[in-house]
Amino acid sequence: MKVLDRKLLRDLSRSKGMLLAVAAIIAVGTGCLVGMLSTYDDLETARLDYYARTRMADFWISLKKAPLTAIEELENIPGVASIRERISFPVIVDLAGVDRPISGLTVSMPETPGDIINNIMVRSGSYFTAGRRNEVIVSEKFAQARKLQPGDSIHLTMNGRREKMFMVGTAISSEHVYIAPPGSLMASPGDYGIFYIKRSFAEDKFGFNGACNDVAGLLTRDGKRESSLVLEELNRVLAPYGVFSVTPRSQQFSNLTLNAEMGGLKTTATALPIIFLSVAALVLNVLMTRMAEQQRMIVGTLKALGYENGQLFFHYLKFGFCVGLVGGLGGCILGDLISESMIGMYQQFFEFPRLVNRAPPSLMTIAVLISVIFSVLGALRGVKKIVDLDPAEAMHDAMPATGGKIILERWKTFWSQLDFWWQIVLRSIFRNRARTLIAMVAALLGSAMVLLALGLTDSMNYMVDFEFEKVLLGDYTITLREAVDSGAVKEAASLPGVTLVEPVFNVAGTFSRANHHKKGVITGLIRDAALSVPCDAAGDPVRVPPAGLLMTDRLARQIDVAAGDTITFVPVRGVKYPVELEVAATIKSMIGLSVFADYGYLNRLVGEEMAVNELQLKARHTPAQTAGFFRYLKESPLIESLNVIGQTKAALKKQMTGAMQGMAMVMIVFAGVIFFGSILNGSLIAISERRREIATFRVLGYRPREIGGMFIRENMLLNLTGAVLGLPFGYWMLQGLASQFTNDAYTMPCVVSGASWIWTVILAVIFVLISHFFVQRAIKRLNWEEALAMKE
Amino acid sequence: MENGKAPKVEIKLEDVSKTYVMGEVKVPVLKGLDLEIYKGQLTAILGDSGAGKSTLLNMIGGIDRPTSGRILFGEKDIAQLSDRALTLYRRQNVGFVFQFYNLVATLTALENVEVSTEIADDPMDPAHALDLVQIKDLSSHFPAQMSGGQQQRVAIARALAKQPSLMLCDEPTGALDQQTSVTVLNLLSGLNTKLNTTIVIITHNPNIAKMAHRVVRIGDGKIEKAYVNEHPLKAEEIPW
Repeated sequence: MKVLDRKLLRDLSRSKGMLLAVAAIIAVGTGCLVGMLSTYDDLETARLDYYARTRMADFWISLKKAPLTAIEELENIPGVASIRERISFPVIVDLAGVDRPISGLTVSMPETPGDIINNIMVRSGSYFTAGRRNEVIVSEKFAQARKLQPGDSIHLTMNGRREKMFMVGTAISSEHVYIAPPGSLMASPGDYGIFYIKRSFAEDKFGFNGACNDVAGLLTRDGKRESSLVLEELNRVLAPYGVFSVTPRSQQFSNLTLNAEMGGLKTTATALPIIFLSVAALVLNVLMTRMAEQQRMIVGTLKALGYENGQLFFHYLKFGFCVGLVGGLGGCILGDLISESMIGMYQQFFEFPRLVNRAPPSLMTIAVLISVIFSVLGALRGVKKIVDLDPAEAMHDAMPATGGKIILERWKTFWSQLDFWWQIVLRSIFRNRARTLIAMVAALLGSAMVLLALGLTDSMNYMVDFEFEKVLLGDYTITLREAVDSGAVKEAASLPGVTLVEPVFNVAGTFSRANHHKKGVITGLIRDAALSVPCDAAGDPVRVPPAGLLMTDRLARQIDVAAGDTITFVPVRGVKYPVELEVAATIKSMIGLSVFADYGYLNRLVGEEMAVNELQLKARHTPAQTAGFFRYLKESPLIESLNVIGQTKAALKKQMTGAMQGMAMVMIVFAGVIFFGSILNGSLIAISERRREIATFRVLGYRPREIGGMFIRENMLLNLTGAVLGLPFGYWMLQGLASQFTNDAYTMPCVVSGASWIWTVILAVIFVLISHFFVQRAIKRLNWEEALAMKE
Repeated sequence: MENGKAPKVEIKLEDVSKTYVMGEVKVPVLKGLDLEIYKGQLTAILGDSGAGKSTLLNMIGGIDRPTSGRILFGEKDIAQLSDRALTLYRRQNVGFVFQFYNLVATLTALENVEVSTEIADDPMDPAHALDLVQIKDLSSHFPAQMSGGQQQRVAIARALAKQPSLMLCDEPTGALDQQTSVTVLNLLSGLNTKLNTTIVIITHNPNIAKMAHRVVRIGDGKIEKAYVNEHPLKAEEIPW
């Protein structure tokens, strides 16, 4: 090994504390890059494989009822490759030992397995046998949550009748990678299941012989290019059969949720590493600049001996290279752990046949390369400074730093009030501007990351609280299989423990204005509804106008309307011709693309009178009343689904709180690494530079703790300033991330609680104090007697 | 004169001046200096602090350039060489010994000598260089584990190991006690005698100058006097 390389290794070893601190920052940045991109890659691979193997549809059409003969014709439409028809209906699940009715969805399947569109993959048990008609295959996560196994019996209320079903197996489906109950955003495995039944059984039970109400299809290559036109044509052809919705794959709920998650992952995988690697580069810059001073005599000597600038340049650049390499390799290990952990988390929410952490070597190689590049760039300025040293000048000690007054000293009244420790600190800050700036930037980024972490948790909590404390104020939402008259309201009001019932009337249809079309639902609410209350973004209730529509602003923007404009609405039920409606007002809303109208007004619009297809209930139950209430609902032929609002909220909170808190903790630890690395480096460099000064204080009789006070003053001042400046930056990052999680289903708000702002600053203080423990230790260990004996 | 022949010139300075510019202040350090250093001789450059001794040494060693004048090494004017060529000149022809040794703290004695031999065209064996300065048994010691005199001997071995034609010593005993100084000076004069290496020693101590073949007294940036010591003293004979 060349002697300069031996020098390099020993110099690295001598400064290992400082260099490891920088390497730790690099490792976290690289770890995030590797971990998140690897996870993204794993999800994408799993998704593509899954979709291909199960022939995931390119589009879904939900309609009232269409004859199979009409469906067969659809394959003649240019752009359509193949079609699969299905019978699909919501059901109520009655499980032994479970009081409340559980919601589910039945989907018809062929009698024998085949290579069909939206195929299922049997995970346990078997596909249907020829033995029984009433066989059912249950979605895997639901079966696991409810401890159901092949061979068990369950009861499904189908088309108003309670049917006993024999479970033959469990399965997963690519169109249900993420399963959430209708109206909910979060997966709740035990509260909503998919039940695959034989087509012949579905025909019989739902009265759909030779008919279907659900179509899934694949597009040709040309069809995919012109998909919107193809879907429009499909909509037109099927319009006579009452089209509720036409959903391309990009908007399909499960795929959309997966896309949103992966999009967020990719954004974070890019943003976080840049922050960490930039801080590392800045800190390394300070380190190498310091090294330029420390090694000037050696550099001068080496030049005097005949070493060329190029040789010395590469020798010192290797410092940056080594730090980048160590950090990068450490990051790969950390990244693998992050990826493993994230895959484990995703396996709880997403159903893939195979989702594994692959940790591709190519990604790790790129990550190490990136970390080396950042480190080398960070070291470059300092290395150049070393190499540019004139050999004659290098032989002498550096000229003393400029010792003039700083600007604060002009303010005599203020300056004279400060003790000498503060005067030393402030002079040091103002005289070492580059170092001061870098320390503040590191603190700024660290604090921004903490605020982002806390803000994400706050925003999620706010979204849940908003929905369940301002909008949905009832205890139960009952969805009826079909619209009935207001007698259902009276019937519901008579149930034990029920204190208030409000009717809701939902009408699906298409909103149009000029070239903009969007399928949606108008929700008809009674005047002064107390259980389902439209609210604006501030949480203030908004009154539903007596005529016209109250539309969320996101939907209004999508179809390019404003308050006062008129749109065309073609309902799916009742009068199926277009009606002109005024958008009376718009509101900002977080959930869905909601449209509200007066209950009576909406009824009249579609030619109905007091029709109801949803009930909002408030109840105060004793345990006996609860059991009776649920029993009634299980047995009622009218009920399509039941949402127990309190339980939904609790499940949401538990899931989201758990996931968000875990992520927030990790991000806070990462932010701590930034603070720690920056403070430790800066302080150790300062101790090294000022060892003679420290030694002098010791000789004068000052204790190490008192001398340490000088450092903690400086670190606290710089880092608190940086932390406060980082608050708006963190908020800006939160806004950026929130925009990633915005789609038709919800808009993530950007909310930071007062406590979070304060906690961010408190955490910055805690990080400074933790770092100071190590700084104080270094001061105590300093060989100050030797420092005094050192030559000038 | 040696054996009746005029000594060969190792390096010749013609009308060399050096002025340092510090902001608006110009500080002339060398003023039109003419000097010849002869091959195989031990030359002492004597002068008070601030006389320009180190500046002169830096010129001769190719570490610094004159503001004007010529510095001839053979036929080559090293004052006109590019940075790269100057580096090559130092590598091939010059060995330095500094007042404070300038050893690399993270390298052993042997490795400090290897720093020099790894880039030299025709180096001697590093271990042999340490042996010549009688410090071979400390090959694996780091500078922190050696006394000042031992470190200076390592520095001399480092300079010597590349077998330069010219060795420049800037106050080589400035940081050493009397006894150690004698040891170091004996080494240098021994190298001069045995290997016929041209050695230039900067010193402010006129007694040390008594061991040189030739003494050049410099003052106020000019040569005040240059004379030959008819009977150079041995290091132990120097009055301290």
